[in-house]
Amino acid sequence: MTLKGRMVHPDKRKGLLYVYQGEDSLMHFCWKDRTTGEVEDDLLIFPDDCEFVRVNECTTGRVYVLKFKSFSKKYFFWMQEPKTDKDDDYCRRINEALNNPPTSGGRGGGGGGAQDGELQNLLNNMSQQQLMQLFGGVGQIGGLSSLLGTMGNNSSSGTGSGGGSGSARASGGSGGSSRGGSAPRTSESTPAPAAAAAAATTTTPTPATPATPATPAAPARTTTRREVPPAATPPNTASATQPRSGQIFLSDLQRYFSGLGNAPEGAEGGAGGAAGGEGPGRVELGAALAAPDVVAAASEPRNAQRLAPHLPEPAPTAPTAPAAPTATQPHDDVRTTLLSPQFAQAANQFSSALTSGQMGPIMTQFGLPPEVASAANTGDMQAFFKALESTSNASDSSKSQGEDKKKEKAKEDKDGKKDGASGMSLD
Amino acid sequence: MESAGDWCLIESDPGVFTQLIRKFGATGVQVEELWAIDDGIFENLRPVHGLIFLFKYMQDDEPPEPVVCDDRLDKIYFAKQVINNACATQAVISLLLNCNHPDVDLGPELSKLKEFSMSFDPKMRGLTLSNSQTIRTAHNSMAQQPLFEFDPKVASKDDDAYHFIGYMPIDGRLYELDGLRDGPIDHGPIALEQDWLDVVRPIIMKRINVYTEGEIHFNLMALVSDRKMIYERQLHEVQMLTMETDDMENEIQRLRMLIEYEDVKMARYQQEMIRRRHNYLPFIIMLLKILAEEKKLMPLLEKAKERASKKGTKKMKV
Repeated sequence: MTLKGRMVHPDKRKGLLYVYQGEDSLMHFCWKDRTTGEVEDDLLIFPDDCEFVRVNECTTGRVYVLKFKSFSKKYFFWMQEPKTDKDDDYCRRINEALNNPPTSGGRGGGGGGAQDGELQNLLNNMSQQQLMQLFGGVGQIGGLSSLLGTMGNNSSSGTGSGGGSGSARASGGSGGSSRGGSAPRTSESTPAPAAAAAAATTTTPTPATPATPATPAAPARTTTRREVPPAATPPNTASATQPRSGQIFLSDLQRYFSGLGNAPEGAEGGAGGAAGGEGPGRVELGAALAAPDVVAAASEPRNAQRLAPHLPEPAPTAPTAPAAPTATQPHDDVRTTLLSPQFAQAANQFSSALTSGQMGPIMTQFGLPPEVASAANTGDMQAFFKALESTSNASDSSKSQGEDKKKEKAKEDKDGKKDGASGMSLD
Repeated sequence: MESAGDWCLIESDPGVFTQLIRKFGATGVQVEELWAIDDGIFENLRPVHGLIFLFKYMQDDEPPEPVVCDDRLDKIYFAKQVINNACATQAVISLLLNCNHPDVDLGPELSKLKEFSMSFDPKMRGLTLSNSQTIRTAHNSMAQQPLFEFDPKVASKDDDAYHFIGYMPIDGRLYELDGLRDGPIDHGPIALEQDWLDVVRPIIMKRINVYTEGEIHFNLMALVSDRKMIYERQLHEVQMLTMETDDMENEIQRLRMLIEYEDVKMARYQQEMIRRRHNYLPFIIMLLKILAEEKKLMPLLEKAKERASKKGTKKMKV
């Protein structure tokens, strides 16, 4: 939201608010643009210097402000969590993290290396559960942001918040996450919930929040925050007939991630065992999906056509190209994708996520039938595949049959022509 | 080494490094991977401004050579590494900031950074690097998009720690820049007529030999002048000559081919970066749907299981 004069105006970009403790033991308060992945605000917070509070004067949205004791600048944030029940909790946890940062090793001790070591030891010696307790929702939120980042937008976030362990190391923070499932433009087709309708349909600034009276001196640049209008939230789109693959809803993700901590290797091994009979190794799809018969099946024109929209984009034509006009722009087709190490990595991640038994909600989001989702929830890959195969007639075949028919028709046409041609030559 | 803050793990790949440098705004340089360290290998890459060496980190190795702590520190840009995962970026930046070659243009961002932090001590310089928005954004934009984020405990325990260090000649001496040390390590003088690469080669060989045979956990990359720029310069020079001979024709042909090769390489780098940042989830789901329709999933799973159990037993034997 941006402060203009004494009014706060919304900034509609989707963002993520999070707090973490840096290696220097200082707390960082950050806002990240989830579309670009850019962390636009990274504020160093000193204990007892700030306050994060709800702006009660604002009745058209849930607006929070970060205020400092030592200076007058204010940062406004527009909360977009679909449910309000956790609002107070997030707010409390942010304050707690900012003003009572967890002491790591020896804060203020100054010795960089040793201190890190201590912290690491401390963390390593804690059980999974202790960690989860200690860090509250951090893991969830971090994961959430990165997943949302990737899901919502392919070009997406640059940060992804540090390959996994970032969550544990970025200690003590708690994130009031904010979200917007779909981009504003979808709101045209979506009936907005009454309360949010005003904010949603008017694309330009709306909720005229009386800006905190105490800020006349605040510089005009008291920039602050931005969200997608609440109109674009789950219930509508969820019931829409064709769930768009780019959309993942917060509640599902929360369910998804909340279980993560409790399903470590044991459970996974179990699931893997169940799936793989006695196989001690974990079943990974990366290599399996690059097998020649898979590549062949996927490369069949009618299948390739369906896969095409999900392929990586071709590289933008290099501006340096003129010297080599003959150089063909590399472009990933189905085959190169299946054989690429990047795809293999993604497929392996997918298989581990699946065996952790928490992919059900995501399957639902992709429009797969409930049987598939519940099979995915068991974490048993075999059951999941079985469900996929047994339901594929019911769910997708109508579409694919349609396509098949089209294909057949095209083929007939072609054959017909051929016949005609050969007939002519015979004549 | 664990990931830290919001610095992602990035791949050690010449394409990634080259694009990283471009993102910093530096021009005239690129990174090439070396697969051997024989005499001839540098021939097509000169001038080589520095080497980046990746190795499996071992806690116990002590610096064999003296650590510089005198006033040379005012001239050598050495930054201590204060965050994890950034060592690759840090090694590259350290080399760049110490590079005075006319081919290399640091660009505004790095020049500013150097100017700003040159008077700091190594630790403060490290903090400055880690707090630079531009550097962090560039670094993070190189990372592979994780489909899902897992708790670190799920990751395999035998994940080895790797570390990047830089080697380069500064004012006639060979230095090793390792952000985990207290200062640059002085490997001694380089004689006037001596090629610094001849001095560094045995040092790297010695390092590699410490590891048991069969280990291939190294990666050596060279910071070199922009190849295309060099070839274009040479092409220009050749074309300046007015006499036309067959040799010259051949030379022009050769340079044109090399330039084209560089273009293709850059395009490939770009494509790889797009792949790294692509969200493959919708693709995977669609693929599984298709395979389900064709009833190919179960046989596929059988094969994957076979492979997994083979891998598993093999692992257990070892």
